[in-house]
Amino acid sequence: MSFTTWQYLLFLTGCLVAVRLLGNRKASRVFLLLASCAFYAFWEIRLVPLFLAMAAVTYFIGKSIRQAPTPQLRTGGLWAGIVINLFVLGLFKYYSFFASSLVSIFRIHVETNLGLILPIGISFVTFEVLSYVVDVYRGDPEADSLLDFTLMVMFFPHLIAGPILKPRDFLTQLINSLHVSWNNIEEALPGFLMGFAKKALVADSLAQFVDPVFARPHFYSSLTVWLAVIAYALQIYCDFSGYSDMAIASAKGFGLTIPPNFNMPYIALNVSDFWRRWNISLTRFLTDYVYIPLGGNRKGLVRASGNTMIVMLISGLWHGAGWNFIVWGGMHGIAMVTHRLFRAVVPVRASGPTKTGVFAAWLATCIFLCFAWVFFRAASFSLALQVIAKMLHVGYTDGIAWIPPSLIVALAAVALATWIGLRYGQPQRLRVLSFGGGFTIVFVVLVVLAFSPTNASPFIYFQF
Amino acid sequence: MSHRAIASRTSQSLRHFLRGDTCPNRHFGRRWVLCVAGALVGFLLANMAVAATVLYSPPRRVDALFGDVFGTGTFVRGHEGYCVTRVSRNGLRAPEPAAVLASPVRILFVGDSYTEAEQVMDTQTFVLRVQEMLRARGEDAVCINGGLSAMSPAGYLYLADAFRKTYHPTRTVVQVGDGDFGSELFNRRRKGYWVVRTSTGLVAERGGSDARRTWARGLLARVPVAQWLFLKWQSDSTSEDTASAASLTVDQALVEEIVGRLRTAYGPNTIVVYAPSIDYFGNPAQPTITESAVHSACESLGLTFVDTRAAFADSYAKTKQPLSGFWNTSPGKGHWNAAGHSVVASEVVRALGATSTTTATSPVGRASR
Repeated sequence: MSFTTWQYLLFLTGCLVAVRLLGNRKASRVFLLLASCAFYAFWEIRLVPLFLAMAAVTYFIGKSIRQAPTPQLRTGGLWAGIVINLFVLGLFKYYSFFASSLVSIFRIHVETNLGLILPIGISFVTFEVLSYVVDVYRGDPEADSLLDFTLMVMFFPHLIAGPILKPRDFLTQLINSLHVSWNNIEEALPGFLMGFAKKALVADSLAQFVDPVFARPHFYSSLTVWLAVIAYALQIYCDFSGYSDMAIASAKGFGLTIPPNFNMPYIALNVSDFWRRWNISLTRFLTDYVYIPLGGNRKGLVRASGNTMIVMLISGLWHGAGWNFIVWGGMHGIAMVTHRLFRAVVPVRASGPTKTGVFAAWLATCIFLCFAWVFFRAASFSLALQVIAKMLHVGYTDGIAWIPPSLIVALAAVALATWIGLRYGQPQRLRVLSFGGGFTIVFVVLVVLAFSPTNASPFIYFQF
Repeated sequence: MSHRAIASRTSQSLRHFLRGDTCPNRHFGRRWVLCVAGALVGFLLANMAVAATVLYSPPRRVDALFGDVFGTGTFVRGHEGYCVTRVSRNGLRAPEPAAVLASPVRILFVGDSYTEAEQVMDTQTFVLRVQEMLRARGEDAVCINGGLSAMSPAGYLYLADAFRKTYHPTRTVVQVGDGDFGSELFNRRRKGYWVVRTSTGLVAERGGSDARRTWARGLLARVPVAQWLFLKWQSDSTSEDTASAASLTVDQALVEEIVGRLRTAYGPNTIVVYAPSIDYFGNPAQPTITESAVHSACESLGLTFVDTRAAFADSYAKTKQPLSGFWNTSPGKGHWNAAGHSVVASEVVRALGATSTTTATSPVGRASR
């Protein structure tokens, strides 16, 4: 059940009405847990018990950590939680990749296909339960009940593709803030409509251009390949941030606040800045639970650079079990280390950067991001190299010239939205019972339905 | 909780919701009025946006000769390529009959969506390009676009009389394609025209117009957003039909029979233009089974067959630009683009040049004199 379907709209409306009638009571939380299980079962009912089991095991491990009489037992509980959850993730997501890599490198016989289905959203769920275990070990209170913890893990707006929640914050909200009101719905509407438009109108339209070019890059001209890469950069942003907007808005309808996951990433002036604006919840997770425990930047430039590389390689591998993603993560790591070294040699001027400098930094960051996205998007390493060769005019550069109007419109729309965002900030509320409310809802919905392509693409981040 | 309590709570919640948590009761009605007014303005603007860019067409009507066609007026299509044109009084993308009859040479082009060419502007269609090319070489010819989307040879056979009575053509060019010779020809549910086998051979028939359906479509045409959403919803089932039609094997005897009937209806000097399905990402020069069958049928019946495939493949090899597909769809797939129409026009003019456009007469032409 994708967020952009009428089935989801009906499902969400039904849940809002039910929670409204049930009030802020245990019954609401039980209902939401059942609804979340049903939401996931829409994709694959057989995997619902897996997530429930992960939540239950993690909950009891958290409880055992909290009640452990000795530090050794607490540490043992922590490692048990980490190893069990990473084992599940590894088995379902990475086994096939590592096994086939071993086979091709060492020429040994290992069963590469266990016939397991990749559970949608397992990467997000795993990181969430891991953060709970670590937080409890660090002294945060554990969840009040198994129901609350399971609901936090399974809560349908963020179940499939995040954002990754901070357990302590969200558990508190579940107890205190779960409430459906007209105000909540009016506050949720701008984000929901914005996310719907980003995904259905922009991302899906751009996919019609990106998919054929990335499938056969050698048939297209260099200019078209460049445009396809730029289009993919916009597509993945509108796809993932559109999903996040709709997830955040759906939770807001229940009175629950999920922090924003994007903050205009393409205005970033360097790659570190980009990661502070892109998939913010993942960046926060990797910083809190990997980078800082490794020593962060407290142990010198070399160690900090190494830590950055480790974090970015993990980020790449987290996104997908494939060498393309590892290369993508590695490229980001190298760019961040390079920027760190550059800053160590050339500090920021006291009077601030010049306009030319800002523009050059922005342009260089955008160009780097485009090259990196090629490895993220291409179906194979060889296709990625073909795209890069076309972009660099290496070899045969002639081909089909294709400048899609959807890209021009999308570029203009994203630029305008970014300018509005910088100038006026995010809209806080849409008053439905007003001229603007009626106009916005009807106009946006009709325009999105009319101008979005017939064959919608699935959300890109669902595969992670 | 009792049933009564649940009902009371539900109605209380609903009232609370509809009024808004912070909305004072005395402003309640006014806010709803403003909301509905805003919704109406949004609805109108969305319709204007769709009508200007994607879809606008006059309501359909039933013509005595041409059957279920668009009414007269401006016509906009923008979901594959872009065109703004005008539909004539008989529902075609052609000049009014009075203007046609003033010319001594009247070349009729019969075909489906490739001939009607909703994807390109008027001057870019191969029909008008042929007219321009003929005029450039001094022939006072008028070319009539008789293309109707979703048409098949069944329709071309059925409408031969209508074309003759309306335009009195001196020469006819019939455009056919891959999906035209399968069992779909006999399908009474699709396309409005079909053929039936009788003791005297194949006979073309037309379905009756459903007044209720025409009325509903007329209403839809006045609301472009609704019409467009309806078409999008329909497109899935149509593409499935097309896919199944393309996978059919070809009955050579049926192809020869259909081409023979077209020859009888439009005359022995009829030119057959084939709209080839070209795989630009594979082997563009490889003809399809249907294409070969039609070519062979034309040869055996003495009709001129315009094979555009070789010209398309040559052009692609030189320019690397496919002759079908558009920037707002996908190059290499779908209908001919402006460059494709240009190539087709050149090939048609070459075929027309082989036999004079002014002296040749067809049964259609003879009947008109």
